[in-house]
Amino acid sequence: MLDFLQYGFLQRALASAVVIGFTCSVMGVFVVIQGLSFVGAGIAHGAFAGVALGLLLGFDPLIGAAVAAVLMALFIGYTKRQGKLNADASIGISFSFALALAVLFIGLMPGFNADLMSYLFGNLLAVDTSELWFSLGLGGIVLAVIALFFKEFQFITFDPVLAEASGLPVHLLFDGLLVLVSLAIVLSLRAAGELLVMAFLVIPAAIAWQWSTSLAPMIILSGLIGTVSAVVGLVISFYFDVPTGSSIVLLLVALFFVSSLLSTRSWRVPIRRGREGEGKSEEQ
Amino acid sequence: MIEFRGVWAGYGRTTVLTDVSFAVKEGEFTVFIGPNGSGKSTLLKTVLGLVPVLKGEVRVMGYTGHQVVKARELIGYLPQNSSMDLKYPATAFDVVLMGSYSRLGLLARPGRTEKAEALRRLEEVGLAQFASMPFGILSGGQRQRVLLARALMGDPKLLLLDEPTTALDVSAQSELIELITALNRDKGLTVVMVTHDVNLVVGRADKIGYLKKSLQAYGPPEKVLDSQLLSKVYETQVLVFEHDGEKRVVVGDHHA
Ligand SMILES: Nc1ncnc2c1ncn2[C@@H]1O[C@H](COP(=O)(O)OP(=O)(O)O)[C@@H](O)[C@H]1O
Ligand SMILES: [Mg+2]
Repeated sequence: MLDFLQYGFLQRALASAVVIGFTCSVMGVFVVIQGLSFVGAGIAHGAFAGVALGLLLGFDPLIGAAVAAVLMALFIGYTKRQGKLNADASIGISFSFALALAVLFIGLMPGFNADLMSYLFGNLLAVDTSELWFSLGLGGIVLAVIALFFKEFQFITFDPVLAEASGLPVHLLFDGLLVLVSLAIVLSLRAAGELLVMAFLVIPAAIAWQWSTSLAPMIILSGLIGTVSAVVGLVISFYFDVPTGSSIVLLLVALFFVSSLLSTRSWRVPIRRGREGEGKSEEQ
Repeated sequence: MIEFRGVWAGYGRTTVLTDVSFAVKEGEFTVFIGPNGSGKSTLLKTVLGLVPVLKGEVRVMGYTGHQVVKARELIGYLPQNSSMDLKYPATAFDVVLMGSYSRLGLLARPGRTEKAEALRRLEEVGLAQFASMPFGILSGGQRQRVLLARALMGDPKLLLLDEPTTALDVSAQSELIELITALNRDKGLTVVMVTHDVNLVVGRADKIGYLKKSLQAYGPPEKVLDSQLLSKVYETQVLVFEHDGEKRVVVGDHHA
């Protein structure tokens, strides 16, 4: 099995898979506990539109992706806060908007663009050294911010009302969280592609949730699940000659089903659904 | 401890509190009641400096004006029907520990002292054995006690409780009130509480205030608990009678 590592491109693929799997799965915890899976998808579509624009106008597609993803995150944060529109609907709108832009930019491009397709489906095996460093650097920043502001992010996601009453800049922190999600997407886009990124953002965290009663352990567990499945999926794809993205996603989905089956017997899974106080006296 | 003098306060263009004056002394148990939307939560938020004061003066533990927020460190706050996600991965201990976050400030982490205090607070509300249980699977009454323990972190001098008993069953309600009364009597904590059910606090509250944008009545229970006065405030028939030497209040159709 170690013969696997004698190829430079496989070493880079493995390192990238670890960085992407870990970073996206960690951010995925916030996406999942906040019920924002669709937000992740919206941001990813936005990033993809940015890539298309970059390729169309001839600037670095990753810069396009970064700017578009962050703008998308802030737009979603803003509309969510306006409260006039159901959060679900506002995300749906931005989702369609991003997709329409992507399709428009693609349409404006002459002929078939293979480069563009690689951002949709990714190609871990084609990662070069500079792309790996880019992912590593950005991933390090994202994780460092999460570690530094863990207590604040925990506070605003668990109890925004008290967090605000305690003087925390709740909106700013929430936007910050969305920006971190978009950066995690951007650092993964080249190697993993939009589809795999979305899987990493949702599935490991969903599995970890079934086994966690506390946020920090859930983050670590999710990160580990993402990392291990990325590595195992890559190895499987190498030896069985199947597309990497598919093997990783299928592995994650299989893990999710096994975990769901096992965890229904666990007393630790909170059975109550919904939110406290729903339908009772209105606040504010 | 708290002093409101002719206070008008509200959000943007809507004024909620109109000409509210009262004073809460150290160690007192004060209860505000009033219909929905009468400004009870707004009043507590004004004490915390979260609502702009348009007119009049608010003084909290010696701080006035923009300085009022400085009193926050000495205040434990339990917001109204906290809208937490019950599936959120947090144990009872995690939730109580969050009570230390605002005093720690940015970047600092809770250390041994805070963790030890969180366990002590859980013990104080009788939930020590539930420390590692997920918050979401506790009963409604237990959850409120956990949130009370969280409000007690950092040894506040003043507790602001916004309808802590709403949505609880009768026995959980009286248990919680018992706990709050004990904190007030034994530990000398000043308590300001908003509630729907005045009967829960009869014989415990030192002062009762009826709020309907303005303070319609304010004073010790024996003065304020009066059929005529309450009927006027509630705009419906209210009957106050004595049962076992304690006053009871019945609002609305009391023939049933
Ligand atoms: N953040 C806010 N912005 C604008 N209006 C508000 C806000 N919070 C409360 N209000 C309004 O202030 C009034 C009093 O609300 P509140 O203090 O929550 O009443 P209560 O707690 O007595 O039910 C209500 O009419 C409500 O609509
Ligand atoms: Mg209220």
